[in-house]
Formats: sequence, structure tokens, C-alpha cells
Amino acid sequence: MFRTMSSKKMITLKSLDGQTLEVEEAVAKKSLMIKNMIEDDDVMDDDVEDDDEDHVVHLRKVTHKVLEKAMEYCKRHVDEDENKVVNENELKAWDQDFVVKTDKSTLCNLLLAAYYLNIESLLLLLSKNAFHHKTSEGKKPMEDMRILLECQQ
Amino acid sequence: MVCLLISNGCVNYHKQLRRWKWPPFNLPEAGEGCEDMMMLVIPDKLWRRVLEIGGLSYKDLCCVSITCWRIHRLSDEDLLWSRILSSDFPPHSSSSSSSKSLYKLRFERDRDKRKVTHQRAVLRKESQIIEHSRKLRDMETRLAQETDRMRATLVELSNFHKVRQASSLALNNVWQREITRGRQKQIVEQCVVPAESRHHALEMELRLCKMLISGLEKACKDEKRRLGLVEQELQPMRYHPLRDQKPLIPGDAQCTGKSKKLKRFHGQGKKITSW
Repeated sequence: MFRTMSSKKMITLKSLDGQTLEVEEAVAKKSLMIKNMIEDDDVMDDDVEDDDEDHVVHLRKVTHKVLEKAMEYCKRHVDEDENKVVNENELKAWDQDFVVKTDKSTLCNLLLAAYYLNIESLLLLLSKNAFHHKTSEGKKPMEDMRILLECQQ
Repeated sequence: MVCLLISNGCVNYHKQLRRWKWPPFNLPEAGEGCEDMMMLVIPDKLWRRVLEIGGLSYKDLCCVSITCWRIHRLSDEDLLWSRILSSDFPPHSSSSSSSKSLYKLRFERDRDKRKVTHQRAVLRKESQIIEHSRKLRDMETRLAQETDRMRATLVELSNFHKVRQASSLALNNVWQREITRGRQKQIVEQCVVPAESRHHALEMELRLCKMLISGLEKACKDEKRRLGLVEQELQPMRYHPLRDQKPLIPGDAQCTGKSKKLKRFHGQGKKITSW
């Protein structure tokens, strides 16, 4: 299969509402589902000359806003896969910040997206935060769980 | 606009939710009028995954299980409990009973064992304190005895000096008839050795008393210090956060079963009695 080698191959992700988002291939491949889709596509298109370097991946179950957030996370964490030097503490601080800044409903949808797109580390981050979320007021874990569940006390 | 993830089973969950029997005691109901709720939107499989990788301890799992019925059901599952069972109480033989009940058993057994060990340690410390106190009392008694003896010796010594002074005066200054004077001299000369030895003895006694007293005082001080140390060690062992503090919440004095549960929920208290 002929493919021009470019250092930064871009993937177009199309969300539920029809909007598109362009990301680097490596970033998109953090989602195992996208990765499998791309690789399956490549295998399938073996005999066709692929001029169009931009793969378009249709994600029918994710909205644009949530997809953006997920890709933001992936972009920050893409270095881990390439074995580049990562500053653990910095990443952790960024993660915490990422979660705190996101509102509850988006977090909920992000969790679903992480599950659907199969982004392991994001799922882990969100799960851990569901129970041990440190808000600025320093509430206890179970309070946060309740809040997260939007249950009335 | 509500950004909802339309997953396949979403509509079904609405139906299922209506079928759930809400618990007799006040487990919270899902907030009404709130459209994008985690409870409805997140499927059971995802909840299971979240509970699994969320890194929950046994306490957290118990706390989580009282949030609502669905989570209660999901958090009861064997997979979750067998994981923490094997990490907290390793020699784990697989049995037919549920992991959660097994965990509860092991936990309670362990807790009782620890309680007994603690009580034993406290008793040991208390007996050490009694021992030290007893020694201290003995030493103080001896100290008092020696002090009395010293005082008596001092009195004797001063008397002795007075007598000696008086007798020497009598010998030297008072005019007497030669015979009487000669006879007195003889008596004094005869008495010289015993007098001197008596003086010596008294002085030795005094010195001994003083030595003993200082030794006893030092020993007393040491014993007191040791006693103080042991008492200090005992204090944190005896401390119990739930017993020793005044109730912070006004309604605590009349603690019903319901408020106890809430208290546990709030404070993640030491005792888990709702499993």
C-alpha cells in the first residue's frame, strides 16, 4: 500500500452532531477503538491507492464537546506511549486540574466517552475521581459521590 | 440544551428505574427534574468497571453501597469483594459463600483479635504503673526512716559535744580540791577512748545516713521519671475518639439508628455495622 510518510499524520474525527475535529494520529490512537478502526481500515484498503491521507473516523455516539475534552486529555498524555520523558508530578497536577475544571455533566459524559472509545487511562482517572474527588472545599469522598450522583440527601 | 449521550440502553433504564422499589429507610431518591443523571445514563457494565478500577477500600465500598439501591446491588458483587479480600486477608480459601460475607467474617475476627491484643497491652502497662508506684512508695518510706535517723544522730552528736565541752570546762576552769580533781581526771582518761569512739561512731552514722538519703532521693527521682514515662505511654493507648469527645452535632445525644447511619456516612466512623 502506498502512503506518503509524513511525520504528523492527521485524523479527522466526526462526532454525533456532524462536527469534525482534527487530531494527530498518535493522539487519536490513544483511544483503542479509534486505533482499531484505523488499522482495520488500512487492512481493508490494501489494494486501493490511498491519496487521501486524512482518515475520517465517524463516532456516532460522542458529541463534539465531549470529544474535544477527550482529545485534550489524549494530547497531554500522548508522550507516555512514545516513551518520552514525562514529569509525573506535573502530569498528575494537570490531571487534577483537568477534572476540577470540568463540570459535572461533562464529566459524566466524558466517562461514558472514555468507556466507549476505550481510553484506559482516562477511565482510570475519572473512576478514581468519582470517589476521591478533592474539591476546593475539601469535601469527603462520599459527599462527592452523592453530588456526582445528583442524589438528594 | 442538554448534552446527553444517547446510549442504546438509555430508554430501558428509565423503565427499570420505575420498577426499583425504593428502600423503606431513607436511601436518597434520584433528583427529580434533573435530566442528565449519571444514574440513568451510565450502564451497569460501566458502573462495574468504575467500581472495580476506582481503587476502593472496604470502607469506601460500604459507604458507596448506601447511596442508592442500584449501586448497592452492584457493589455487593463478588468480584469487587474478592479483590479486597485477597489483598487484606491473604490466605483465602475459595468457598461457596459470597466474598462479601467472607470478608465481613475475616474483618470481624481480625478486629476482635486486635481489640483483645490492645486490652492486653493496656493491662500490661497498668500493671507496670502499679509496680513503679509500689517501688516509689517503699523508697519514700525508707527515705523518711533515714531522715529520722539522721535527725536523731544529729541531736545525739550535738548533745555529745555539749557534754564534752562542759566536762572540759569543768576540768579546766572550775577550781576543785586536788583529790576530786585527780579522780575526775582518771575518770575522764578512762572514758577518753570510749568517748572518742562514740564520737567517731556518731559521725560515721551521720555520714551513712546522709549517703543513704541522697541515694534514695536519686532513686526516687528515677522511679518517678520511669513512672511518668509509662503513664505517658498509656494515655494514647486509652484514647478513644468516639468516647472521649463531646458531641459535635446537637442531636447526637439522642442517637437513633437512623442518625447513627448518617453519622457513619458523614464521618466514615471506625465501626462498620451496616454491611
